[in-house]
Amino acid sequence: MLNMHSLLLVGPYDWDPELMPRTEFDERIRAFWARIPEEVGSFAVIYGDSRYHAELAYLTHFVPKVRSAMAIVPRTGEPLLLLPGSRNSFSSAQRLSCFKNLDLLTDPARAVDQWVRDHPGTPKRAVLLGTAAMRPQQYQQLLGAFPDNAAPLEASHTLHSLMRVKRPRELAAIRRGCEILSAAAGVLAEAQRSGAQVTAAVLEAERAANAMGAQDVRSLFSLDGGASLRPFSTLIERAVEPLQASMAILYAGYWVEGLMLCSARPHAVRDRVAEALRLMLAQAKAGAKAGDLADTVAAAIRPYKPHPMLGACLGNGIGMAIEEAPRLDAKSDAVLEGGAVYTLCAGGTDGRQHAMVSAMVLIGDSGAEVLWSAE
Amino acid sequence: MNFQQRFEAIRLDMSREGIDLLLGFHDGTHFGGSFNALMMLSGFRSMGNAVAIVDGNGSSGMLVAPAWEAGRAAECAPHLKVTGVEDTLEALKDEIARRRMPPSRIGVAGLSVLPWEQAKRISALFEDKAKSADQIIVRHAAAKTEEEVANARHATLIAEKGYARMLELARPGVREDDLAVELRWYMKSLGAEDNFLMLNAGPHNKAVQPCSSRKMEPGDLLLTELSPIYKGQMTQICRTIVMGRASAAQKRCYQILIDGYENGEKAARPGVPMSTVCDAVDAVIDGAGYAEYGRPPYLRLRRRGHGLGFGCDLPGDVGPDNDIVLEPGMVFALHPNQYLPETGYLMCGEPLLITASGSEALSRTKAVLGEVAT
Repeated sequence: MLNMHSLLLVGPYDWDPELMPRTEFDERIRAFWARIPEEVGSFAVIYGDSRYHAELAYLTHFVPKVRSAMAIVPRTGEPLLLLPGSRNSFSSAQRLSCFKNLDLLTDPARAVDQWVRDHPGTPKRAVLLGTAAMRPQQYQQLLGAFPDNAAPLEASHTLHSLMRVKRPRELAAIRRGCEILSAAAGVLAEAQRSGAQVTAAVLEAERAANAMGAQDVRSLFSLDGGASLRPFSTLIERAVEPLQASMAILYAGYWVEGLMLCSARPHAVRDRVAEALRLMLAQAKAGAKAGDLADTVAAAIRPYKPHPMLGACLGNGIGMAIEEAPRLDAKSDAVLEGGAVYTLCAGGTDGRQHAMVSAMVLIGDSGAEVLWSAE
Repeated sequence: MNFQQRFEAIRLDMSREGIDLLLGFHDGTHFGGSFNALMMLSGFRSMGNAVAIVDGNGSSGMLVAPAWEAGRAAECAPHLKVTGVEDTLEALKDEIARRRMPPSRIGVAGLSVLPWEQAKRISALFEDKAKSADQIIVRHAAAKTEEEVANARHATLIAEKGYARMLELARPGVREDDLAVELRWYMKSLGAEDNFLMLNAGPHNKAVQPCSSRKMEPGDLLLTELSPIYKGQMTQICRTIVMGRASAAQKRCYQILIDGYENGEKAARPGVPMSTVCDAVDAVIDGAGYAEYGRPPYLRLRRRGHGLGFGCDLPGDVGPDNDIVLEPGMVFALHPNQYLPETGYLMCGEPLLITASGSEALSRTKAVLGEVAT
């Protein structure tokens, strides 16, 4: 779910070889290049910023804590991380990746040209990753490095297909993230039950997640009974009943997300959407079609209407980005993939009562392992 | 000045520049210091795509996606008619078609900070004939409204409380990122919606940086820029803390920066160019024999501060080449932060408001070299 990101990331982002050893990144890079023919690319130019950095982080563990950065990842040899600003700031940045080859980023084209000069014998054939998020001037500058063949291939889709099926260490991170989500959701529910002011309750939950090692926590909450959600913008000194919330938690580079409705009172819409979620989870397995899951949910929430914030959406892939492909909805031809992790959701409204709930699942051949559920 | 007056000034400029409709775009990606046309026109910090629409004839609106953001947007921008949509560009196409307005009479702002493909689609929508209107918004957002100044003042109070908390928590053995996370949370609990929080420590720092997992050690100098945002206004105080007792050299060097700051503050008043403020700071620090350390490569940029707010960084850098003339209502950070060979990088700075007769530091307590028991 769309949420608000911070200007500057302050959580624990440094590379931890215990969690993700260097060999993990070497293997990912090898797997990526195995999908790209040699004649198409000999090095990848990757862009990332403090909001969008999934491709950069997947291959290098590097997350720009402020503004943007780039990397050049060759088919063979050591990646180069390119940082804006000043060399005086490299000492902190060096801790962010297993790759220690850093240089100053001034002009992207110059950086590419310099890298090619420094690697004689490497053909100047690049693929691009994550560059859709680049700003116009940056992108134009980058294209300046490739005057003859115009824009190189944007290979993010290829990398995304690799990122979709999670590796064992990735799953370990996601499992831990779900434990943190579970604890934070529990704190939120307890605070709401005890009558805490709404932003105080959200802050308590965020602090609990931080204390367990979350890198980032992004919460949304409702003031209107769950019809809509909003990010924290100022303190709101009143309690709300019911409290609909969304929490996205980043742990070790992996996002987990949950939609939850906190209320101690009977809530007919919540009961119905929770049942819809349960039915969807029972049906989820490798090869299950999004359209079929949508039919199940639509039938289960009747007589209520779909929650307008979700519409026909049932969820999406999740991992190094909060919203990874595929987006699952009634009209998509997406199929759940074995080994992939999804956030699945159901929501409904009768115009007065509203509810949204979700679950994190790992898809297997014969069913889904529920990693976290609001119910 | 209030928001309505800012709008009227913008409309006057639109008329002068032959613009009948001004569009301010943003995609919800927020970087410190980058231009945010939407925020300047609406006060709304979006999570996704949104466009503020200012009609030269008086009516104004905003298209917001996803549609469920419309309620929050309307609270932030009561002066705009807010419409929640699923796709701002599609909705904008319909709006433009309805108005039958020639592209050459349309001004667009904020394209430079959008993802390149989105900016390209918007330009194409107007057949690449729309005028760039960034500067119309920027020049009228340079001086803050009364409400923005009040919010900047409150943001500064939060920053100062954050610093007090930092003095309580900072100790050898504490990880920089644990301290940063706690401080960010604490200032959020005081109402800060976001925070550009730089924090790092070391025995001889070369610069201030984002936090890392490094554990602080006795003798370290802990550097910080505490920059909370309160209701859209970002402030900044710069501070230095010694892990232990400050040495005589550290005290002497820090006093040079404080003297530089004070001289800069004295020079900051309406009618003078910003470069005068920079020169006043430099005069003290250069005079103490540290001229070369106030420039690259020791400093990333040759500046003694920068504009504050959110989405518009005017009056810009406190730099030697900034000839923008200071006006009442302008707010900027004045910080003579720099590297000194005896101590490494040191930081001191306050947010400064230009008043009718001079300037006023928004912080209640100015920087002194902090010390924590080890």
